[in-house]
Amino acid sequence: MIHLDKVSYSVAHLGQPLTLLQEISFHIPPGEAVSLLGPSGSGKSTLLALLAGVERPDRGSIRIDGVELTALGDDDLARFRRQRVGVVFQDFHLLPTLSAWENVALPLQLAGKGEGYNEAMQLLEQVGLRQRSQHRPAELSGGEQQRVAIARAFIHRPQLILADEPTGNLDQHTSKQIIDLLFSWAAEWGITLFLVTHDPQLASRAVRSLALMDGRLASTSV
Amino acid sequence: MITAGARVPLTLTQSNSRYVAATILLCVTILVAVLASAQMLQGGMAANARNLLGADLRLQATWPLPAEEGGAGLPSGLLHFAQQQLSAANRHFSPSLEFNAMARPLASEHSLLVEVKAVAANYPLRGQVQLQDDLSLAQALAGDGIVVEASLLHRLNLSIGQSLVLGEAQFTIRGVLAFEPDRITRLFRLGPGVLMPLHRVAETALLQMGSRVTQVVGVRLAAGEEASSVANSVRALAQQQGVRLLTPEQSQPSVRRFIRRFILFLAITSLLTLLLGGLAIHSALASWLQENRQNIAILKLLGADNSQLTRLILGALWRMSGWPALLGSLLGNAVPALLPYVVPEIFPAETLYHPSWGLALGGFCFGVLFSLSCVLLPLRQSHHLSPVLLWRLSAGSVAPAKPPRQTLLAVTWLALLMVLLAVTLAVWSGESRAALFFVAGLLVALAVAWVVAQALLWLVRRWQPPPGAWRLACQALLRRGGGQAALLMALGSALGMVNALFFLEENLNQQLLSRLPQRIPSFFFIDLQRDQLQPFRALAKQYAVADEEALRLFPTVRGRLLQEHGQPSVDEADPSRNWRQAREYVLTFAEQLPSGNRLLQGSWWSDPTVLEASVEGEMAKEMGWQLGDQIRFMVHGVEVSARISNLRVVRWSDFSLNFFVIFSPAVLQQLSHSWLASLVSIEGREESLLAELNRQLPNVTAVATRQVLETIHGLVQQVAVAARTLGVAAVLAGLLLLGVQVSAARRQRVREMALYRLLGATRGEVARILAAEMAIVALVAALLGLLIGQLLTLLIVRGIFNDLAIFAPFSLLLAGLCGGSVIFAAAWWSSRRHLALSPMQAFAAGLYQ
Ligand SMILES: Nc1ncnc2c1ncn2[C@@H]1O[C@H](COP(=O)(O)OP(=O)(O)OP(=O)(O)O)[C@@H](O)[C@H]1O
Ligand SMILES: [Mg+2]
Repeated sequence: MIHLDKVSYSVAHLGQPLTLLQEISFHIPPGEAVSLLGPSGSGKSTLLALLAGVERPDRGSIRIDGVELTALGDDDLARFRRQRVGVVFQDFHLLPTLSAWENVALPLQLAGKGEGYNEAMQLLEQVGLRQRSQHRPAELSGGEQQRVAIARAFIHRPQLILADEPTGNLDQHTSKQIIDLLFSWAAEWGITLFLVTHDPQLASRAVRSLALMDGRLASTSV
Repeated sequence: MITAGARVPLTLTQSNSRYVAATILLCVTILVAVLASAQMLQGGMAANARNLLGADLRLQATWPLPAEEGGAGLPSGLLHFAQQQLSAANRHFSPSLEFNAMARPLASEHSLLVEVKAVAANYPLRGQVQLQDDLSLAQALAGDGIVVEASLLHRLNLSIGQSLVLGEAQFTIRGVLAFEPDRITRLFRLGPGVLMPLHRVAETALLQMGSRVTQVVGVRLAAGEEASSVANSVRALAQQQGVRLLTPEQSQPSVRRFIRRFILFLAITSLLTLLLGGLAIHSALASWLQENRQNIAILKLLGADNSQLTRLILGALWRMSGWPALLGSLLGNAVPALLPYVVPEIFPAETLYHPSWGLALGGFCFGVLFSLSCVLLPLRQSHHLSPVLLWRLSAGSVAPAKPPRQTLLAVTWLALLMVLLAVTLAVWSGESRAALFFVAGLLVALAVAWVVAQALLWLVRRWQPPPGAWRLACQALLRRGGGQAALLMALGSALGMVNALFFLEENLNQQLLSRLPQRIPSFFFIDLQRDQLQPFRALAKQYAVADEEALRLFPTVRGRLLQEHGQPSVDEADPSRNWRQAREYVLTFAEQLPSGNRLLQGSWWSDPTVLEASVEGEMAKEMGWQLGDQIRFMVHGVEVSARISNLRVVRWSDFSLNFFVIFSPAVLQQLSHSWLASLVSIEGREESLLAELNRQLPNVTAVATRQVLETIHGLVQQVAVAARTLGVAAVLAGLLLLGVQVSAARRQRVREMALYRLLGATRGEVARILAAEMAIVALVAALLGLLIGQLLTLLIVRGIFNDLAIFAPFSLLLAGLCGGSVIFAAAWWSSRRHLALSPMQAFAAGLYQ
């Protein structure tokens, strides 16, 4: 499902190249749940951005579901995302002007797969937010917003879910709900889950665990 | 793949949309309204040019020409000239006379100054006279019939069928004038118009030696003949005889010039609105896209491609600007239809209104394209925006500052657009110098406003109020960043324009008042004959105030200026340019320097037998005359000449009788002359004076100063109404910009206020800090407005009225207070919602929307 081959990524900082990721290679089979651990600043979010196709590596190859991301243009990457990838953030990143319901339906609309409101309502029902479907993000709690964001990430049944510390802003109890939701939906629909977290306990729920240290892959445990 | 049918909901915040919409509505309305009004006036004048002359060609003379043997009556000289020079198959001539006279009802003593036009039976040769009832002009003028304007009936309390006395003749009012083709021959009309048959002029005994009368001969050319080529064929000869030739293209040059300048003035004043509005639209759209960077990033992350984003952004833009532009272009197009009711002096009822769909379309496109041009750059940037932003910045902390280059580019683009518009206007109006003057004035005002705004902001920075609301407000203000100076400039220049109008009016009024009102003559009397002097003096004595200067009498003749070799120095090709040479002068002679005049150079003659002249200083400067020069005039066919022995200063604004040229008695005494008089009469006795005058000396024309002042005042008022409307529009545009800026700083401000509250400030204290910030903005803008207003007033009063501007502390205070409170109120109003938020809501709102 995910094939990374010697992926390096750097940014220019004050005129100097600053290497954030160095020669990362790994392979993840379809439907597997993977966790990514690492101290702050080790490059976890950067790696996620590469996998989502919003950044390009300097070197190396990223193949997802047989598609070589480095060969795609911006618009093709966008289309790739709306068909095969869903992203969940620590900060939720819902659109403030839309209701929960509209936020969830948006990916289907962007992909030209109809209005998507029925599908969206089904997912909201499953996450227990049917009553809140007309609310705007500003009127929802953090945990509720994150459930909406997860529903949005899954609505188009992507092949890959990228989650960047999805529970970072939430209390323990809510965190557990969120993680249960992610894992159960990923398992139910056979979706590959790539989860960034600081919590080793959480990481242990994944089939496989990767660890980043200063931009390098430190260890892989199964 | 994407299907076009997939409707993406409104995913961008619309916080500034009402400002964008309101500003576009305002700008497009103003633009289309001004252009449509200009088009209506121009179009009306071009289409009616022939009708405005009442003929294809108009010959005009203000002095008698040698008449044909036996030809009696005044116009015969000019008619003879026309027939001799222009006779050809299928050409027709129509002589007429135009003069002022006093009219009164038969039964009443009350009399009124009227403008008489005595016409031949074939008048008019072009166009049609329309009367209010379905009467023809010939029918109305048959027998002792006469036709008058409705206002005469009104003012003399008369009705159709009653009698009207003009001089020594009696007429019956048969018709009321609804439309006469050559009505707008002059902007200033001293009284209502009267149409009478030419052959009855002699009976009135109104026209005597030296009477002021314009002889007119209208010519109707055969089909296919060009008026200008016919005019050119006789131009040289006409010039020699002092005959003016008017073709339709050059009919009413002064009226046309006035109207062109008026439109130019309005158009350029409206540029200020467009400029400020453009700034408002630009910063609203820029901050709108800035604010939506995060949303755009989310959409991209969710897989929206660039074409979808472009469609989304343009769609939102269209919803913000499309409808207002459409509405504005329609509204603006409808404005000219109202003008004949609002400013009838400038837009007479007969200027026809046609909606101009071309202009409406143009205004609409301008609105839409302008707003599009404001988002093109940010749109391109949004294409390059990477969703990786979502990892880098936590929600709500999107950097609010605009890249400066982008603002610079937009301002340059705006300035270019304005210059383009101004140049177009200048070329279109043919008044490039005036246009240049206006535009330069506008730019200078803006530059001054910019510099002073920067200086005032610097002062705010240096100001260290004690800790508390004021200090926090100062700090907050300075945190708002680069837009502040532009905002203050905009507010200041808009307020400055309104202030200038207010100060100008104040100045004019004050100056009239300060010039001793009792010294302003109540009446001027025209065409007093030698044998009328005695009874006139006796009459005047009864009504004059007790003052030696109450009655002033000047012997006058009319003359044309001659240059070298005895040629009249008239350039008929462009009568408007050298009007000083073209015009007819009222000349007088005196033994003593008249009171109210002051010698500038040279000395007054002590010996009345010398042949000397005294010239008004400004005129001498313009003509290039110096002391010792010989000047020559043609008076009643006699050439007179004198040496300039002194130059005088005259104060025109006190309305007393003044002359450009005064001769020593020996120059003019032996020529036959009439008298011109001014009288300061006892207040409240004006009516009976006029009645008595009419009884004793019916052919003396009295012009009430009040009447003249009212006429001028009326015209000035209407120009002022138009200017004030545009001034208010500019202030509105400035306030919209203010709203945009307040709204752009919303996140920042909301977060600050939430922080203050979290740190323990009460709602009232937070309100005080906000009020202090708004008060500083209002204060600085009001000060700037006063400064610019005073500056403009000074320039205009000095440059146009050649007077010193009056410094009126009370009106300064008033203007400052008004401007300041309007701005404070607007600023408060646009940020009032932030106060109502609880810290919880405020944080939520700071994060989202
Ligand atoms: N545009 C950039 N310019 C310079 N440095 C950058 C840029 N983007 C990321 N970095 C740096 O790259 C490193 C990795 O950042 P990244 O956000 O991937 O870390 P992370 O592992 O997700 O950390 P955290 O757990 O705190 O979220 C950090 O040290 C960050 O400062
Ligand atoms: Mg991270």
